[in-house]
Amino acid sequence: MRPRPRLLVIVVAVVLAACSSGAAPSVSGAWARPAAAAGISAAYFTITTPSGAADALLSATSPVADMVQIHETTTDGSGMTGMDAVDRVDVPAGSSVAFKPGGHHLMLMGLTSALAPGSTIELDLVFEHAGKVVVQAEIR
Amino acid sequence: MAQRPAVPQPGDEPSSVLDRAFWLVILIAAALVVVMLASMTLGGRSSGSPGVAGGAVTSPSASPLVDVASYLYPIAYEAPPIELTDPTDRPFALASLRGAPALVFFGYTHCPDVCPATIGTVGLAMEAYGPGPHAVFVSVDPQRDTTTSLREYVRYLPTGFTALTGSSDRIRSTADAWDVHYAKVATGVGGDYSMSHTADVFLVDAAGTLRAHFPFGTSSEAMTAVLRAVVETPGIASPTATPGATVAAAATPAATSVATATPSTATAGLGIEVVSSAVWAGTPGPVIVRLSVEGQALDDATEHPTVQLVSTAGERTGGSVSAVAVRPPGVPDVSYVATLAIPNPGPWRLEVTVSIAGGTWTGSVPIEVLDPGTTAPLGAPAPTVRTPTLADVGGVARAVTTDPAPDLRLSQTSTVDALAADEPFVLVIDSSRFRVSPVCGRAIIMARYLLDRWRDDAFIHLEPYHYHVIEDTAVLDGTLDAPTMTDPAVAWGIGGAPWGARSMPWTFVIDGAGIVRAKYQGVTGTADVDVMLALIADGG
Repeated sequence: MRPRPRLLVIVVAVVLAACSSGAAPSVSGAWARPAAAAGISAAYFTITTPSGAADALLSATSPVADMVQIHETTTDGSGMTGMDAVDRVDVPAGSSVAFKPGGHHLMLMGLTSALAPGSTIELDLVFEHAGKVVVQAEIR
Repeated sequence: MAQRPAVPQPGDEPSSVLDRAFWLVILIAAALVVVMLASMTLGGRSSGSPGVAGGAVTSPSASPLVDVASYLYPIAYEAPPIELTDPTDRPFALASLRGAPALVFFGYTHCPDVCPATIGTVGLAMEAYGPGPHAVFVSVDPQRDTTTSLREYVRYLPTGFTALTGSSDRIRSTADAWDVHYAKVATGVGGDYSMSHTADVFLVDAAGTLRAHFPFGTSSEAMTAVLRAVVETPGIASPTATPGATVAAAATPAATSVATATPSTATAGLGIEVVSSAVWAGTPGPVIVRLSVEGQALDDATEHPTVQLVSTAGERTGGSVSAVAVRPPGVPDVSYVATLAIPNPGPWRLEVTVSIAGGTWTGSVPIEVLDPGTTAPLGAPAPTVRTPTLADVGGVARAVTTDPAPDLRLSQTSTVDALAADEPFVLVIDSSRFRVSPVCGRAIIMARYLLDRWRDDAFIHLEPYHYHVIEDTAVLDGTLDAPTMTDPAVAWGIGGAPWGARSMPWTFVIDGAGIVRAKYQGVTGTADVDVMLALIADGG
């Protein structure tokens, strides 16, 4: 019966390790629009938080863009659409927020190279609690 | 062998309980690890999103049934012109696409989200429809969208797309004609800006008639269905819109040109141009025409042509009526106004006869007569519900008008003040902000133009829909699909069948005796109202 305590310690360690990375939001289905160099693009994805770990997207950067802003497209009663920069996008614990065309998106400005369909770019998302989460977004 | 004190030692407690607790922890831990690994693995990969091609907006639940009528204009108009420059620096006119339907929308190439989404959706709709339709992208950002930058941009556009730009003035006047709004919005980065803009997609049919519009976010399936419906039902009337739509369509300027193009117009050499923007069934109302003999305009104010109403079956209906010659001040043209009682809405003909030196000339012209529905009847006293003035709302312009640059002369007088003063007036029921059709706001523009010509008459603007002012922004009560009418608009009979609440704008002309003399739905010719005001000023 001697090995059992050691196994327990290892299992607890694994669980703790999994918890610390598992508390971070997951970011899925990331994609961005094709664009010319020096142009602009928009990136989309879905953020999902684990239960018990609410978080908020605060900012983002990308090696391919001089500047990245979190935007929300809004349409008023008269059909005028516009984009508002937003400071944060809250994701309640155990839920998902989709960044999608016509809604939230990352606006990538000052592209350092053309974004060709089929390639991928890196997005570095900064969350309030989880810190930086690196995502690969497909250009399509 | 370091042991954490907190970890219980086997044998400290009865082993059966400890064993069970131990294996429970193992199981839960294993399950958690599996779930977390799975979510991390899936999360890191950009999985293909279903149904998205070219980054189009997908409809969350693409219903197989599309409510086609909800996208159609109740009244179809000739599409406003677009004459701009294409990416090859050649002039481009929308009219050159006649013969095929076109989807028209406004945007800008630095638009990261809305415009690419619209392009994707329109592209999918065109692809699903098959060959034929064109798409026209009109830039609202002439500062950055030069033809050079458009050349790069069109490389990313689906086939069948044209991108257009032009001078700032030309873009502005084009957008105004389509009632497309746009404005620069600073993004706070080194003078960078984005554009807020109307993101509707407009459908122009093969005859150049504006038939439908799609709000931003409309699915490609809906666009394809409406495209099919419009192509299958050519003509100026909306196939499934309000009962009034069929008769309504022909009263527009577009329909007038259709009418004058009819070969029978030229019979016996008398040319007849119908000036009236609207001719109504029911109580007697005005029909305004201009005449020409052998191509020469008949501008003789002493003439009294006779006008006879004729049914489509060729039967003369009612007696022949003597028309009154009217020449508005400063206008060289003479118009002739006949007051006709037309029993039913629908197609009719006018037979006009004029005797001048050298003989008698006759001609006839088809007209489309509208169903007045519940609107304030011609020849009857005007409703006496007070329209709000600027003074009534404590001087807060936004509370009486949604016009971003309001002409407050239109909000000085209430209809009841004008009636009490026995003063002729023009009432425009229109909204610059809450637009149910591309022509909304144009009645206000017409009123501003005529106001300078007719300074003794009152011009009164009334907002048709209830709204609240929140921090200087007009916010509609309810939705644009089912807006709530203001009380004065209801009193003037707007909102009832067959026109409904979304039939803006409306214009009424009232004489000094408080009688409704003319009314117009949709686009109203300034010449038309001008003639009516001149007739009233002459005591006619």
